[in-house]
Amino acid sequence: MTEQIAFWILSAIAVLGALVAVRKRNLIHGVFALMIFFAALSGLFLLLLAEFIAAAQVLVYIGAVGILLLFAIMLVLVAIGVPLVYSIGGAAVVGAMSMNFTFLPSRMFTGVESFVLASIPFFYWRRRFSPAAA
Amino acid sequence: MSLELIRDILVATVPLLLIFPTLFAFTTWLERKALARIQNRIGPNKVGVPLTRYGGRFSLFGLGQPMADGIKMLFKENIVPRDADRLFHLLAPILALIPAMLVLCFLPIDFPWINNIQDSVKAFMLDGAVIFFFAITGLNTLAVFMAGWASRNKYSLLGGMRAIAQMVSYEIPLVLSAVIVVMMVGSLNAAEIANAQAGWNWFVFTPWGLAAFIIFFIAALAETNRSPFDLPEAESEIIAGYFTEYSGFKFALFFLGEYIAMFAISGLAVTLFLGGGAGPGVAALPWLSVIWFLVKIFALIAVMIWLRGTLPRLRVDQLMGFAWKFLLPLSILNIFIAGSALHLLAGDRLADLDEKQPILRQLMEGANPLVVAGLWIGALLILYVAANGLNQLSRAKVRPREYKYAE
Repeated sequence: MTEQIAFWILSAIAVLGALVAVRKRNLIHGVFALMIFFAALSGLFLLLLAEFIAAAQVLVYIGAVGILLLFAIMLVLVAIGVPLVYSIGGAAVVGAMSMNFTFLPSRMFTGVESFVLASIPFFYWRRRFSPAAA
Repeated sequence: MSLELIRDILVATVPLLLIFPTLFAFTTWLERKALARIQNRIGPNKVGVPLTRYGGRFSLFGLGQPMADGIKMLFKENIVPRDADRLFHLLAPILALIPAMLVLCFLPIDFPWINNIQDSVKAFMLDGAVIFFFAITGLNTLAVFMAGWASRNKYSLLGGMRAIAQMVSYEIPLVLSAVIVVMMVGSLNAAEIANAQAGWNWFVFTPWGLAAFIIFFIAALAETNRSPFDLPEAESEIIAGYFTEYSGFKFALFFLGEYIAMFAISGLAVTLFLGGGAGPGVAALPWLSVIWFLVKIFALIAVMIWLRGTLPRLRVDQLMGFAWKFLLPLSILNIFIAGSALHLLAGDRLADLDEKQPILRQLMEGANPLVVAGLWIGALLILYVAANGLNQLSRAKVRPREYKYAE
């Protein structure tokens, strides 16, 4: 009887945690919901008297994988979220410094020469002047 | 669920929840006093014990200070930053306290009141208690990160990131040094590990055990964010790290969690290396083992306080270099030394070892004393040379400082 109650509570937590982990827009909330799911799963293993698997579940999934996920999210946030302008500008400056200066204009022209890029202004014109698009 | 089971669970857990927070209060007072003496101050000496006269004759070295602190913390305003993630900001201190409290039940302390309750509610009798201990202490990292992220404060975030990097790095030497003990006992059960060291057969008295104990203690300092590894909360660099935005009772919860984690990890060190409750007079008076266990925990805590008062904080690169270039290779080498020493001691008796008994004790019975002495000295020499060599290798290449104006 006790095990039945514990089983249902733990499964409800696991299902809810998994749902939240899938549905949440906020990445960090999602990761923590996933951790709750893993914790409930470890409880279910404990109910099956699989102590070692329960411990390994906590150790590997919550301890290692969860922290790895958080780390990855944080690094992406830090790398892209905050200093985008500076990183692009810095990369451009470093690239220009390391390149031969005769090489720089030629790279600029080959960049503009690309037909795909050259077509962009035409798309703008089309949108501007065609009566259908307006 | 029968009433007896509920009663046994309560008997096994509630005293832990009462004893250790009380010890926490006493430890904060002890730490403030000791740090004050190290820094040539007096420390808290005004607040008396409740129900005695305030100040004056009955102040008893300021023993009432923890209670005054607690009341102050409890009545402070609950401040949440405007942009903070309110739910996570609230949950983080609780999540920091839960794993620390949870692992206390894996310590094999033979309280007199748990002798006549059933074994199934004693967590330290679990096969694999040591693994559970490490698994659950690892959850503390999540709480620290949650606190750092939910505060929406750059210092908190930096503190959280530092904490994760530090805890992930130092968890490896911590676990690898515990492996030595598991090799010598042949069990992960905390009670069996403690019983294997009865008498004076403490594992700290073997060369590999001594090295493992030192590595374990250093890694434990880093795991619990104690000075000199308190980079996640370095006051002079990032204000207070992940609890910059925490005040009042939430801060008190963090504080409590940190100290309980200190007790827990010292308790594990005592279990693994310092003989658990073993000590003089235990055979005659069994309740003395509780006293010995707590005394050993407090001895380790005293060393932690002493280190906090004396050592300066490490830089981040020194911190990571120390974990990956020094502690990790040394603990792996230590495992090899312990393994080969056990193998040499066993000789051709390997087949008739009893799996139910502690391995090291079986090997020591009937071993040639000359071989044992040679092994001891050899292992100590190898470890010493290895530690010195690693120290030379991992030392940062820094030029001697050039002074422009001062000579």
